[in-house]
Amino acid sequence: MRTIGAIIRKEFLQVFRDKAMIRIIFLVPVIQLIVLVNAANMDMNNISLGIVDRDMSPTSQKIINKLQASGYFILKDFETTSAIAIKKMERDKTDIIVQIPKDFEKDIYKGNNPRISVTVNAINSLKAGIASSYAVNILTDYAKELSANFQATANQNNISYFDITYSNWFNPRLDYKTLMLPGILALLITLIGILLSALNIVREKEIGTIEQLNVTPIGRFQFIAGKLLPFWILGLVLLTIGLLVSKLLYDLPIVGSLLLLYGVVSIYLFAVLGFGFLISTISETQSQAMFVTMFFLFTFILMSGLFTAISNMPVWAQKIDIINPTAYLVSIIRLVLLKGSTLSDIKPQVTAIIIFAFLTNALAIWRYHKTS
Amino acid sequence: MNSIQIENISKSYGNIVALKDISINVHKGEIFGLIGADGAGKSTLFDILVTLLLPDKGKATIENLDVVKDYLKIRKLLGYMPGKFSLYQDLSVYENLDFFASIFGGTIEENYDLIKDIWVQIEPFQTRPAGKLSGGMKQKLALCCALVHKPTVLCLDEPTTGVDPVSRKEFWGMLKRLKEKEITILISTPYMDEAMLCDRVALIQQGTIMAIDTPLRITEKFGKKLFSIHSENLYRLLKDLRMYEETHSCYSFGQDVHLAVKSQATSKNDLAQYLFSKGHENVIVKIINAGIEDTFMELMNNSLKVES
Repeated sequence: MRTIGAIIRKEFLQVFRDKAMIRIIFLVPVIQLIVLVNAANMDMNNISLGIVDRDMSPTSQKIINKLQASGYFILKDFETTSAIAIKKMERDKTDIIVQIPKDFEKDIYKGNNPRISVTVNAINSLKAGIASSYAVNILTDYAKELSANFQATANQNNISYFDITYSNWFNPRLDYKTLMLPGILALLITLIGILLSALNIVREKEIGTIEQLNVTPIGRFQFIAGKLLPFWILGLVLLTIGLLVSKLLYDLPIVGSLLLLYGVVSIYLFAVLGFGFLISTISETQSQAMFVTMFFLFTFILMSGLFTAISNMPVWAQKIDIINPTAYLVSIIRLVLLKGSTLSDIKPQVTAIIIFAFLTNALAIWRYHKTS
Repeated sequence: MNSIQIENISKSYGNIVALKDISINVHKGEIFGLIGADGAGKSTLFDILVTLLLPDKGKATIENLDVVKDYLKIRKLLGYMPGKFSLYQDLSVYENLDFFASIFGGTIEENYDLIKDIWVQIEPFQTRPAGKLSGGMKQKLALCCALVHKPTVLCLDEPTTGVDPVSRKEFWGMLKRLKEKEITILISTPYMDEAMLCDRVALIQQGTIMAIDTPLRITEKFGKKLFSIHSENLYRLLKDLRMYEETHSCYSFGQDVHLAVKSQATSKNDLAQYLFSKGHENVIVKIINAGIEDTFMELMNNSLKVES
């Protein structure tokens, strides 16, 4: 125990002596929470709108007003022929074109099912999807309004008579920040966890201090425990800072049990720290370790479900995500913080993280033995 | 009694043979020197002895403990100073010492008497980061850290390389005092003058041992009559002496040339006359006893001749 204590004390001394390290550990997360959450905002409110109005009637004017009044669209282009409007879109002037055909108003009164066409620039598929759904929603709303006004013309079959209402549970205002924050907390914990442990041990190799340590009676378990515990503690401190910033700056809802969250993150930290340690046993220099770490970090993070929903990924990618610990953590943090899930709800994810923690550490201890 | 026993140890890295069938016995409480040029295999032998490397063949014991099987026990009683400075440069002098005392489960106070002599010299700098110490101070700190758990065997891999002459002398003074405390010291060095300070030495070259004995007896193995010659033009002197028919070998040693001759009959006068005939002026010729470096060169030449 005294040996582990000596290593822990030494690690903390080194961390707090290194000014750059302090900044990485405490300042970077705060900055990332502030910058990333605001920048990675997928709420759409400045979609460039093009209109082709070949009807020029009060009804078409009303539709245009409705679109503009929604606040999502900015009218960038107004044409009377579709060819020019399409050209404008090709030049990236507009994201979406709404075309109102000739005699639109007249057809409505006649009950001829006139069609409004919506063309979306799908270069950015995410934006396209959101933009078109906004537009279609507004247009459907207006169609319903019209149908209420013309109850008599009952043969208009392109207008729905039933009402669709929906609400977003657990994130009622569909606030993107609420969705991003827990995910970014998960990213920060992963980043710091893997990077700190991977670089730390490789640094000892690079400077040669590991040789001096290897001739001491420190056991393998003592060595790993002494190395991991300081970073484990730092990881939990980081989580606390992250939660505080999220609460103070963004009023992040904390519905579930914080104790459960800390419990899960504690296990998760062992998993990523063990993974970093494994990387360090196969690397000889810090730059090697850095590259390997970056490879896994990017894969873990991009496939974590934070930016793309895992259910939207192709099947093979979903299969790969079975071994992505970050995906489990992102899901757990969201469930616990936003939905208030209990341990029994997140059992599969927690089990996966426990297995991951066990495997990485076992592999790391085995590899460490082989290299010493 | 033997503190370190090395029997027929061999080690290769791929095709490169680092150690070839090496056997050495180091007695308890002696200072044993491994003398050899860079790349002779000294560090490989150290790595095997301090349980960092497994030998391909052979057996080695430290205090009757096998370096392969009983490595954990050996690590408790061994003090090791690697060739490269391997302490934490960002930790202070005191923190380093305290750390190494703690991981052996002890405290600085427990074994203070052992390191006291050395510690008092670096104590004024105890709050300074180890990386900011001078070369000599670093060595003293490293020695303290290797001693703080009271080892019975001390392995020092080239501790004086890159250290100034004054610090080197001080360092050897410390080793002598440690020897009085019954600590066995195995030390490697590329400096021939340091060999004379050891109780016994092994001359090692290309992974084989050329000689093991006390420094004095090793120099007696030289067996040839040796002259030290000084002249104004060192380069021409060397060239002319190589042409001399009685010459066995000649090397420059600083400002002088050491010349070994084939026959004991060759006298100072013979040499002076030869050099005078070649036009050398202010020639000083002295008969000297062979030093360890002369012997090393001689043995090295012999082994090269055998090989070719």
